[in-house]
Amino acid sequence: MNKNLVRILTYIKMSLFFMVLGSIVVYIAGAPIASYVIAQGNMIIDKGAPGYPGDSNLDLSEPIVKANGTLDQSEFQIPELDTQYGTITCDRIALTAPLYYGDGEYVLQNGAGQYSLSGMPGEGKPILIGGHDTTYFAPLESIAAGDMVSITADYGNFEYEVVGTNIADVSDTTAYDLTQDKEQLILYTCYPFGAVTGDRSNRFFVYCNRISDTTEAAE
Amino acid sequence: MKHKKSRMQAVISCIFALILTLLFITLYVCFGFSLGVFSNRSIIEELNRSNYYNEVYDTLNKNAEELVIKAGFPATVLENVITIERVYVGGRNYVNGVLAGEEPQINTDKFRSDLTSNFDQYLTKQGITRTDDINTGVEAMISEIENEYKSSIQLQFVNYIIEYKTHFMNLMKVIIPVVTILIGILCFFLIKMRKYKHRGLRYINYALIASSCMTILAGAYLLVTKQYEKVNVTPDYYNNFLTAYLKWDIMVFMYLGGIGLLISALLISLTSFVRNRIMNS
Repeated sequence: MNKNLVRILTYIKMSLFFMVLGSIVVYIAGAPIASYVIAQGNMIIDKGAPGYPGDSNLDLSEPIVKANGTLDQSEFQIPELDTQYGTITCDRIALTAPLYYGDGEYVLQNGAGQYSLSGMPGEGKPILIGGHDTTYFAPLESIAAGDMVSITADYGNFEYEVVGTNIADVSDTTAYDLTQDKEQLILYTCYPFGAVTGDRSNRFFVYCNRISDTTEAAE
Repeated sequence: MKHKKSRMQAVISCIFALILTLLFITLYVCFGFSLGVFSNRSIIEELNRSNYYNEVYDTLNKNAEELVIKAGFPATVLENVITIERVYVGGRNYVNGVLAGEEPQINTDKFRSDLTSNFDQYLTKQGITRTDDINTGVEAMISEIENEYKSSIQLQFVNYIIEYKTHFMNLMKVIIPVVTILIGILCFFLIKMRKYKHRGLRYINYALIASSCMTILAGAYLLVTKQYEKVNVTPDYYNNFLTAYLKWDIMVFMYLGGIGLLISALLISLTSFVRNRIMNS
């Protein structure tokens, strides 16, 4: 075989070999970094929008929360999974995140996600909301008891007061109680904050009680 | 023994070349972000290319008209207030200010005074008596339109880009020298450990070709599958700008990969030259 042709084929073969090996290493080692970068990028794009927050087709013109702060169940509809239905904010720590129904990876890359088997704001049941510690829920690192957390939903506004925080293992089911009879907002995120690699088995929980009125949902 | 030594050299060369591939990819990523994502010029050019300011003007004008008509005023009260020149200059000054690291100022004094004057003229022309209610209502309307103008020209996205750019550049001050030194060391050892230097050069070339092709193929995949169009944000003018901006960022990586392939072509020539020199001597 022509020596030059052999050399060309060797170049192609060896380059392909290193491409394949390199791709495997980049995929394994780079996946958490890429995921972090994509989540940060989504957050910048979201928060960088003109008029953010608010441009999410939310219509606050006809809230269906009654005067005593409970949901008017006859008008209320559970949102579709993975759709944004509100915004969660805490002014003191500059927390602002779109609030989605559902907590899959797509949702968490674009905002905060509500566990679909927990209650809705105004329903009088515990609400479990998660977010990434490196993006939308990064400000939770500075949260403290007494801070006010607001949920602006497309059916009304709800205020909560932080009463405590806790760090627990991800498998610790005693860290929160979704069967309790009061409307407690439970925010959670990965702990320690900002770590991309390493031990990510802990979660940081923030417990907030609904303030002002009773939270019994109308029958 | 000689055969065993030769095999050992080949294995070590492959390991070094793999590490070189990863280091080259790191360099591509760093330069790609510097010249694409965090480039001031990219942002400004894509804003112009995507017709951003024209669309901001159209949207702002439409929203302001809806506001005044809903309040019972004609759209003519906005005459010479919301103009394409004002939107373009205001928006461009805001973006340039943020990119220059300044605290952006949006001066709406002239905007407000022109709008107030238009409302005054209209009310006078219609013979409407200025009661406290009317004054309060007009004042609220003017403030609302002013806020609409401010939020339209404030591109917060640029603020976030600059914030992240600062962190990125601090990181680059460490990464680039370290990666460059590592590349130098690996190239030195690849050439040094071989009796025939051109064989060491070949491994450097394999790494360069592999990393360049990976960069180009990744970019091509993102372009062909139009990942940049999946952004889907509102308003439309912001979405259009982001689509153009992300597309350009992907193309920067492909251009860098192309430059890498050109350098590898030169390296192949150099390898051939070194080899011929060895053969002739």
